[in-house]
Amino acid sequence: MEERKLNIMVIDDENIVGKRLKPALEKSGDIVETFEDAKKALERFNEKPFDIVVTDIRMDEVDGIEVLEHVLAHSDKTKVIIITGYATVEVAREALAKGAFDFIAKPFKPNDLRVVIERAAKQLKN
Amino acid sequence: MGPIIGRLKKGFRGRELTEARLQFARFRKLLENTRAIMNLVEDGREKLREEYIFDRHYVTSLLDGVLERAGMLVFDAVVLAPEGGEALYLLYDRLKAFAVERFIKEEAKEQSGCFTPSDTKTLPEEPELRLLSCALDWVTGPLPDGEPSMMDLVRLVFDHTIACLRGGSAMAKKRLEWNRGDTRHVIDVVDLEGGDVKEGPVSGYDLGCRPLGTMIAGAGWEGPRRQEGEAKTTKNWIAFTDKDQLSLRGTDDDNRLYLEATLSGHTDADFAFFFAEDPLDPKSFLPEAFHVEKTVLGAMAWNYDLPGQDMEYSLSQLGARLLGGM
Amino acid sequence: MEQDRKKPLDFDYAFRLRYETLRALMNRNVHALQLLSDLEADLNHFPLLDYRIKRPVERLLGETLLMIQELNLLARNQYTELYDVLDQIRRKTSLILREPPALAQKPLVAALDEEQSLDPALVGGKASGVASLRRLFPEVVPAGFTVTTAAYNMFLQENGLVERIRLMLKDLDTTKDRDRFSSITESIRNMIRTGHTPKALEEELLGHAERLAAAAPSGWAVRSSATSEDSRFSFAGQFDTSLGIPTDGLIAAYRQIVASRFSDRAVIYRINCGFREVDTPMAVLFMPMIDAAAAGVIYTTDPKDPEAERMVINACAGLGDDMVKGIKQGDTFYMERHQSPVPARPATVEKDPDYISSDTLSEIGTLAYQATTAFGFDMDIEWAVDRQGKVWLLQGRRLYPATQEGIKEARSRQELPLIEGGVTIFPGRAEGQVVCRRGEELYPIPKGSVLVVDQPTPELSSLLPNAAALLASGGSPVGHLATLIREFSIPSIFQLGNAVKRLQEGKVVSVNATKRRIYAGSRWPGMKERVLSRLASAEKSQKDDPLNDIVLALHLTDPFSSSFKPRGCRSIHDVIRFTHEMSVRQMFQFGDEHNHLWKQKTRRLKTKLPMKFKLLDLEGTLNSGKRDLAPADLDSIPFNAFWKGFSDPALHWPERWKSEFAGLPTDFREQVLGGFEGPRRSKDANYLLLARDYLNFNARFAYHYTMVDAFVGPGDENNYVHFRFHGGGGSKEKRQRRARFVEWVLREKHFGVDRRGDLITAWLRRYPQKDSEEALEMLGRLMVCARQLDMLMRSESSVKVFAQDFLNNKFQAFS
Repeated sequence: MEERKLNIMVIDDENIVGKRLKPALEKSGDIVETFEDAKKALERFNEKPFDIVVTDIRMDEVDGIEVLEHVLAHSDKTKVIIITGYATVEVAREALAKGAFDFIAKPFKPNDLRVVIERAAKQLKN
Repeated sequence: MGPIIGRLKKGFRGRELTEARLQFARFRKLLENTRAIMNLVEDGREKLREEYIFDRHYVTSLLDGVLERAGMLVFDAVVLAPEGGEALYLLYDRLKAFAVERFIKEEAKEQSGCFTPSDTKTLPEEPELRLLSCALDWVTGPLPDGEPSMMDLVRLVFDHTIACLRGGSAMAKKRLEWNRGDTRHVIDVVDLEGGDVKEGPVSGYDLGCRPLGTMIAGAGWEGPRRQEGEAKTTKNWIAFTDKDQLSLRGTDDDNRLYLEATLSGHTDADFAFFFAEDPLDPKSFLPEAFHVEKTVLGAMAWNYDLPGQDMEYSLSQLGARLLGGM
Repeated sequence: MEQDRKKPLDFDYAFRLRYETLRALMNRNVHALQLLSDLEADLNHFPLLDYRIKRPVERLLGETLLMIQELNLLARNQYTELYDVLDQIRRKTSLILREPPALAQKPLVAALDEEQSLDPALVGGKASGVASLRRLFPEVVPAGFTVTTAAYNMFLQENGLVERIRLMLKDLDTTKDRDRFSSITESIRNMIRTGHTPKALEEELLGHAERLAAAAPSGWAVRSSATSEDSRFSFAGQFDTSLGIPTDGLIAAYRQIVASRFSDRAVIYRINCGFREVDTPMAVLFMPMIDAAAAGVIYTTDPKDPEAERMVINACAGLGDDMVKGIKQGDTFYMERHQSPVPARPATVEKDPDYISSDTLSEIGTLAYQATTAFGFDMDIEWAVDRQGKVWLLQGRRLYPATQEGIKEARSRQELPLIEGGVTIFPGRAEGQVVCRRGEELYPIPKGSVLVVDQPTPELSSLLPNAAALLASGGSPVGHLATLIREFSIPSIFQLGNAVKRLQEGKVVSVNATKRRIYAGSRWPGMKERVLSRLASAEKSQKDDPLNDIVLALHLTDPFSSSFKPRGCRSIHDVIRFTHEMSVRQMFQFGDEHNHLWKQKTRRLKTKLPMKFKLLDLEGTLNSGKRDLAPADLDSIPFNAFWKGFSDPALHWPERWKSEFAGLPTDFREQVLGGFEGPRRSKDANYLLLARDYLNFNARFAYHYTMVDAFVGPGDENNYVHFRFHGGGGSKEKRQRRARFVEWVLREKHFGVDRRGDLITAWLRRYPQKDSEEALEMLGRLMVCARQLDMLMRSESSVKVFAQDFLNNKFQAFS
């Protein structure tokens, strides 16, 4: 299997999340950009394609569902992974129904997210 | 009599069995709530240890969970033993007020809940980590200046409750007895399922109770007729059983033991809990897998999250030591 | 800190215990309802003896036992009978959940010639039918293979889809919002289409295809082969078929067919017919394509007239697919049931068709006759004739013709029929109100309706369980819907043409499908009852989940009926409902001398609203000493949030003026002004139980009952908002519409909802304080707006209209 670097975008308005995720995800050689401001993230997304977008669902300005909709409207190849603070059926279902690849509930280990990303990457190759 | 009327009316059909079931179910609930508190603490420790990604919200809901479970725990305890339950509520209210003030309220600072580090322990730098670390210390204690911890409440709950579990032998319909070494063991068995049972002596394999069957097998019991040696002393027990649950209690004054066990083959359901009133030392007969906690009246110990086979092994060892030649 | 150690002056242990008992009971109630609801959903996904079913049942029994104890603590052992009632339920459940399941290694792919291809649970109904046909006629039925239900389960599991699908279909209401529903099914299909096919499955599938490659020069026909507990249901037309697929497209075609299992109409069909997801895993049948010159279906008995002793062949040129889908109408031929039958051209066909010869038809008849003799039951068999003139049989299944009783002739009367003509699809008589449905309108129809449609498309299958009869202006007797109609045994006439326009919505008509006549009005005494009992028994057999009746079903719906007593409880749900209701009543039994302390703590809440409120302060935190309090005096997080919505000035209270008459004597007010509506009259207050982080509000107004139970504090682990809504003054239909309106709004607001008839149970758990407060505020508004809405629910569409008005804060609509 050929190894290709993934472009990953991480959006969360709490800085601890991006701060700890970035180094963890970069360990496997992928390119990670983190954003606390979802608006800025979406602007960046319009400039540059990302393979995977990881976003928190609850943010003050723009919420995760909006991010999801924006991303899918601009790129049908990008896989969106949602971080939820409270894994309720409704929120998760809404996200999945709107086309999110999967969701992951806080608290989680960087490696848990890594597994989800690998699964998404597998589908990207198909 | 306190405001809670625990006893059913005399004329009530099946009164004894219903009361036994209620006591059994309520005490299980109490253990479930205790275990939930332990699990929350363990979950928090894991988050600290393994570099999880979490936020302040996690700490708040962890403490919230601890408080809710502790409230339920106290309630279960006073339903089982209403007399004197007031003290439990007073302590609970005090703990709750402290937790809300120091950890949960929006304005609570990340280190305001921390007691002055009494030893060399250093606190983590990141605020979320520090808050969690302090909160966990507060739950488990011990705390300086005699400040009560949540664990103190848990211990108090068990000391409060354990005496109400005595008694009940009269309603037993089955009896299991044998000699090992110089000890004669007599177990009165109450089947909580309440099925039609034949009365009188039974074989261990007829019990239809996996944990008790496992313990008896561990004790080397091979049938009602085979008895070894001359009995010098007799140990009396009462067992409440159903398919995969057991409540086994020593009824002699010098053998006040309480064992609760579930053995179903499903790790998330299986556990064993043990309480030994002083002067018994649980360390002398408990397998290693048990975590022991000292209380005023004695000591308690528990063991869970073991895969089915390990739990089986644990129980058979326990059987050997409690019901075997000792 | 020193002060904390002292016992607070007002600490009242007895009072505290009652409060904690109630709290514990309420909490357990919420938890138990959640368990019930999860269990109901999980029964669709896991087999009955699965640990994931047994365990929640045991937990439910445990929680319910403790609830009963808590009620008896509050009620001083007034309800000890419940212990016995619950014990009987426990014995019944343990009988049902006793046997251990047997597990065996199942193959992923099975060739039609293998023994296991006769097992419909492994290869599905269609493939097992083909396999048995091939044993009989190895030369005439093509070879092929099936990707089994075991492979299906493996596929879902390896892609982590079982949980995700369960999550997405849970509590889904198909009728509420079609767009939302469609977007969910579309995402499920998409997950399947883009899923990854397990290596072992891929290798086996391609291996089997390779071995038969020589027989498939025109590619492959790939068809679903579904299973269900009851082989009488075929899921006809519910799944896709892919034709002419080259070998390298087989894997994608497999995923495509599996995905079609989650088409809108397939999901609706399963939900409406009460099929459980676990009972209906899907196998996929692969057969080489036959390059057909002609194709069709043969019935070994005339489904419309079983006594005629004849077989019926439908035929058309080319592939039979369009005919089966109902798009194309073919030609019909009859022949006697005989070893070498001679086909007879029906009067309507002017000359023999050029695409098939009489000899070939006769050959098909011979094969069908041999099959029906060999199997011992009547069949419908799909056939094709290839370009070389060779006859192939492609599928065969058991045919369930009409019963003798169903086609007994009605005694004739003098009145002339409203309509005469058409084609009988299933004979028999029925009567009911006319309901017309067009195109995509799949809103449910009332039980016992005569359904009138233009084209009988398979989508309509979801409506069949409630239909007394079905009348269509077009349609093909060999279409999928026709097959389903026979399975449901619904008297039906197709091809009525424009005559159906004479049928007016809402008018009662009598249908004689045997004689193809439709009369105005009610014609046969006792017919309506027969229709309804037929529908009821059909429903029962579909929902015969053994746990349903003793665990999930709620039989005690009316707390004021005489059967609302311990012995009236038949299910765990009943016991929970009863226990909850009685515990609430218990809190307010002021007459009891033992409850003296309650009386002291009761306050009146003074408001401008035309309702009375009695208030019980549970923690002594609201102590102001005053007997009458205003809402602003109360310091309760959930109450404040709730009250903000409930007293929103934007809401309309038509009764508001009545409070201006406060000076008049109560009796006069009630007699002259009609009082406050509902069985709880003005002297019956509505009850509020409050603590700083707790609210329990019981209201009975405008003939319905509502209850809000909420715990809201700074953390969110314990936060919950729980809501029940039940009853009303309107007709049953209108009440149910209002309940659907409430359900709609609550779902939009992220509540979990369980609706049974007009009883709504909803919950929102573990949300942060802010969200929980917003939910309570919304509930306050919703209670006021829904108050008299049952009267306004004139049509089905009003559900959606009112829901949208409410969600858009257009409250003037609710005046």
